[in-house]
Amino acid sequence: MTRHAFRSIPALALSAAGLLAVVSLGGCASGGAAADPAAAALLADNSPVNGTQATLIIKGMSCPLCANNIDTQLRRLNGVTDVQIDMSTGFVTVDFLAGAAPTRSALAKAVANTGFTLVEIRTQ
Amino acid sequence: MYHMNSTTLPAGPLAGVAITLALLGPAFSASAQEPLFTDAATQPSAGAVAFRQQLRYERKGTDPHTGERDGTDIIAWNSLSVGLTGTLSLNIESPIYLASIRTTTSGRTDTDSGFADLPVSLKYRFYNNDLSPIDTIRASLIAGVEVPSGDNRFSSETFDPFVGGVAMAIFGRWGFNQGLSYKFNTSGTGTHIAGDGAADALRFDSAVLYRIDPVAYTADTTAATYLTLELNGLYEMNGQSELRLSPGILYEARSYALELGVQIPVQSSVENRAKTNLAVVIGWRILF
Repeated sequence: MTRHAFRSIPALALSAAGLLAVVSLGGCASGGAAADPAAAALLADNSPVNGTQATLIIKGMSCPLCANNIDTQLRRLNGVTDVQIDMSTGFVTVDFLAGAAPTRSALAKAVANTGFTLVEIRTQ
Repeated sequence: MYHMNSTTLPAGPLAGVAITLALLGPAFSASAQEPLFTDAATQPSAGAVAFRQQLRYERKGTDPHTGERDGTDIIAWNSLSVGLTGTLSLNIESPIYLASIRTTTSGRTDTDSGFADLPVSLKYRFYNNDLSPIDTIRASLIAGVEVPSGDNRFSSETFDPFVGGVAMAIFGRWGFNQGLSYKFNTSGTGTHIAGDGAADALRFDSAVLYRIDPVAYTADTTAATYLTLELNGLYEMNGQSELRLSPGILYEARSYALELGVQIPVQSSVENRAKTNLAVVIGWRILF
């Protein structure tokens, strides 16, 4: 090992410390949305959404491409006709055909598939 | 050290790179707000497929074995990610090299091309804490193996497993990424590719992203631009090491992303291959 190699050691130590620090910043850990109690309850709720529109409140959409993942997953659901995403508030408005509303569980599952956290589903 | 046939061959490698670009170019997808070189705790959603492609130009220093050769590498780095579940993804990478060596005494330039080893890995996000509509903290574990490409000019010719982890935090306009991985080079003949020699290799990467536009998201936001700054390190267990500073810029729209950056060596202790003097990277992702 050359003496020059030791110059990398501080950066390596900083990197390892940063890895641990970033994770420890968040408090208790969870593997995904299903570990969140609210999201877990919604995943188990098979009741259909009333009306033709629902607003999903989602956390963690930090960038435009993140939002697109949610858009893609929700549009895969039967009956969904439009998805509008407000990244500033985390509000995702989903329109669907009358009589073809997805269940709360289906909406929650779609969000869980993206890896973001669903907080609430509001209906008209 | 360059292990290649020193035949002058400009058309073949260019065609290989061009074909790859044509095949994979239109197919990029979203694993968002990722730095250019540091891995991120992001992955495609379940059932989704993500493609990413980077073109890298690396200017090499003098070959330490001959003292009279330098050269350049042009690398088409293709990545395919498949979301298996909301927390697990399969990742396959395929680097294609077009290497040129210039003999400084004669001025002759020889080129060669080929496939480097293919990293195949699983990424599992074990930690996810979304704090607000925007803020999030995530961490993933990565385990995989570099599969030999069969091209002995650019391959280590061995299956080399690797493990690692990456953590990501986004607070408002700031994003932070930390990556750490260790590759077990099971034997290997050694190529001129950094980290592909006979010694195990430890990679450590840090990245900071700052969103310069928009200052704040609104209901109408459809794109964002970030400045990125990374520190990318490689330490090989035979004592060789490299540390690069990598500034860049990332533009993300709803359906595609563009990235541009450079890598500047800030420390290089390399004895059996040419040092990298400068690297320039341009990349893109497109979501269908």
